[in-house]
Amino acid sequence: MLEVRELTKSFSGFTAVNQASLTVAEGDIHAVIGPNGAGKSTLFNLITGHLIPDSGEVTLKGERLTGLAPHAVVRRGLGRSFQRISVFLRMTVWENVQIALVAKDAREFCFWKPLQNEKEKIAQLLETVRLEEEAKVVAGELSYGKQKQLELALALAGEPRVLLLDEPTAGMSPRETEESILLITKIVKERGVTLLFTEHDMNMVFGIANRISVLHHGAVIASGTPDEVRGNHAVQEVYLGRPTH
Amino acid sequence: MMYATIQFLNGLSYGLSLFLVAAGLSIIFGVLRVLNFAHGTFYMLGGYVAYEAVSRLGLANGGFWVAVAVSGLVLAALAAVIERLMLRKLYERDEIYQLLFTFALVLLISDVIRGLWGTQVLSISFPPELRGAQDVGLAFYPRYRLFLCLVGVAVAIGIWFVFQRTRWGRIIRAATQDREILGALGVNVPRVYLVVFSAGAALAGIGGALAAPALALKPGMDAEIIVECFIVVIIGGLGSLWGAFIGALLIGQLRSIGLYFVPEWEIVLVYLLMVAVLVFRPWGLLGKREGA
Amino acid sequence: MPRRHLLLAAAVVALLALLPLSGSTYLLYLFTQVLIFVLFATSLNLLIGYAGLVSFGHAAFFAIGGYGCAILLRSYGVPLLLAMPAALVMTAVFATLIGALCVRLTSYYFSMLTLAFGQLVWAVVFKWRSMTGGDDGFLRIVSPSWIDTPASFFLFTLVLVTLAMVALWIVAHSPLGRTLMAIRENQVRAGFLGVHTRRVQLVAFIIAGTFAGLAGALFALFNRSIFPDSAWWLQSAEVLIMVVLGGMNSFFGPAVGALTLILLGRLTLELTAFWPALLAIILIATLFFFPSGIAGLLKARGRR
Repeated sequence: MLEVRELTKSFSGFTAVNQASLTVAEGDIHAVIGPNGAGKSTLFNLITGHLIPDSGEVTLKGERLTGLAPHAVVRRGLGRSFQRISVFLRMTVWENVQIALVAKDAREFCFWKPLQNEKEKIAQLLETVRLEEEAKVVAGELSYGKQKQLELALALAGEPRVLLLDEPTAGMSPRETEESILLITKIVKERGVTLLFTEHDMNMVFGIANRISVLHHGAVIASGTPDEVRGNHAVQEVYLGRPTH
Repeated sequence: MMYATIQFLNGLSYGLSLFLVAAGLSIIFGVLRVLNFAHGTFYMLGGYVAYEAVSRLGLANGGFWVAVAVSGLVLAALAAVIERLMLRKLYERDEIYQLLFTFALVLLISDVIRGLWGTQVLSISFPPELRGAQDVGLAFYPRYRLFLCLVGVAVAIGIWFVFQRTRWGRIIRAATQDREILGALGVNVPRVYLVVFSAGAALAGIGGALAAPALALKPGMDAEIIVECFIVVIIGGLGSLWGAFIGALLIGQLRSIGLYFVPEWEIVLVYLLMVAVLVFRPWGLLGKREGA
Repeated sequence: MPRRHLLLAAAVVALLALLPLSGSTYLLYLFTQVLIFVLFATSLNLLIGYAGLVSFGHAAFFAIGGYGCAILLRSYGVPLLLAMPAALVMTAVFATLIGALCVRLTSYYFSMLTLAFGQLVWAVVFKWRSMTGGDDGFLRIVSPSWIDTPASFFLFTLVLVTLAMVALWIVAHSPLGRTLMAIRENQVRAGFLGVHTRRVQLVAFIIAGTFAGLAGALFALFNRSIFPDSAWWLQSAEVLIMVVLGGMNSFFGPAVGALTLILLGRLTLELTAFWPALLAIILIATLFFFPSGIAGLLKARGRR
């Protein structure tokens, strides 16, 4: 479904992502893990077209995504969330979702008629991420965890085939983390969305992912089922801090 | 050949004085992320302050040079006051407010200039040391303009030296690449902002003072120079010092070619170059592409 | 809340429609000018308030509309009812070309480029003497007889400005208006929702420019002449200050700003020599002390 081939990206001499390749099959819940600074966020930004790779390419169902503008990537069925909260902070939760729906239906150029009030669709999305109570609240006033939920709603509004979540539980309390894991897995299964995510919480990763790729110094050093990855030597060295040489 | 040499030197001296102003604009933007619309007005004010100083001190016995120094100091001081008392309060706000504020400065300062010096065209004579023409091999060329070329080159080298070899230079380069790094370097950020804003303004003031003998002081010159500075940084790449250098030289040459072939409309050539850059390399000749 | 504003606006229009009954030519002239600038400022606010793009060259389109209409009318003898729409089409074409270049990069580039292109339009108007009359201005523009009196021209302006304001209101409250606000707040996020951010901004730029062109055409007819000053950056500054003073976060704020600034100009006639400085002081005071403008002040009072 989603194919990442030998992506490389350097920032003024520092190679953040180095020849990284991975394959995400339809219906997979695929985690990308790795120590801090391993290049996970950069890899995500390369896949979604937020950054332009020095070399390599990304394809979705055989269609090349590399080089496309963000909106074009999204239109081809990819949705994403951001590690740092990225919602429209000065708008209400309701308006946030409304924008996402306008964008999804490509109605953003429609200037001749008033904004429709798609109550049902918006309500449904808010219910999915459990924000129905907060519809009228300005996003900037939500708690951190709820902003993350809104972020998820925005990513889902586009009805993506592949969803990329960058650290969906970063900054959450253990309880919030657990709740949001349950929520995400439920949504992904219900909607049949393919999921690619980065995560620091290993319990979460091994609990829900069926494929795991390990990133170290920008390179994918292992990729496979949770059991394969757990048993992998290189991975153990990276995570247990043993010298690699 | 002679004519071509003169045209080339005209373009060079014009381009290099443009660089003095555009460099300040670019550095201020790089560090403060404030697009200083008033930069052209600082330049104009520098010219008028020099005019005033010269008319009191006279040109002889180094009077002109004192006037240039006074322009730089007055502008540095004025900019420091503006940064301290007003601009500083807007850093935390939307960029819209900073843009509008520096724009208000344009209106205010140029009107004060109009009030103090009137609307008639003023000019300064060449300093006695630099009057007359110099044989440059293929032609005779005004010594003052040659001097402007030298100053432009000297300033470019000076800035390069400061950037590469001094602590301040490192701080400025680091800040241009990543603003958050400033705090991490243990730098007194407000002071860096203050110094950079004043220094940029001083550079504009000195540029204006030095340009005054070569061109006329008149209302509206600030709009002209700021627009050209914008074109320079758009062509070169916003925040890139060498981009500003190349952009300024290109515009200087283009104007002097334009003056020859399409007099009156030479500015249109400059715009055409800008449009071409925007279409084919929107981030500028030496600028960094977004996301790259 | 917005509904109350609309009712108020309708009441204002109805009252204005009665203005010719006063028989005061002074008032008719004054309010014709106010109406033209209400439209000019509101069109600019689509960019500033909704899209967060600060244009320092909006007067370019005002001038293109004005000169376009005037030149067609006088130099080519085109009837007004054709000349005006043609001038608007022309403004839209220029807005498309200039806008496409201006929205390519960040908002800083947008501000620089709008100023630069504004000055280019001014330079062309100034230098193309044979077409525009250069700095002598383009004079003796003759309106058709049916809008030849102060009262009839006022009513003509009132009708057009009202229609244009309704259109702008619809745009501001359409999916496009909402999307503009989203882009303003978080361009990256909007892009990753699938919004073609640059194109949306361009559409807004064209709409804003075209309505500024309409204001310019009315202005040229009203004065029976038009000068290069109408494209000069000071003109852009003036309308910008109307927007900020009135309140850029509100649809009707710029209209209030236009009214206030024009009345202020009339009240301080003896200070006209220092008008730019006065404008600057108003702008600085607004930025520091009431950044949401007069509309923001009214809203705050309403809440208390």
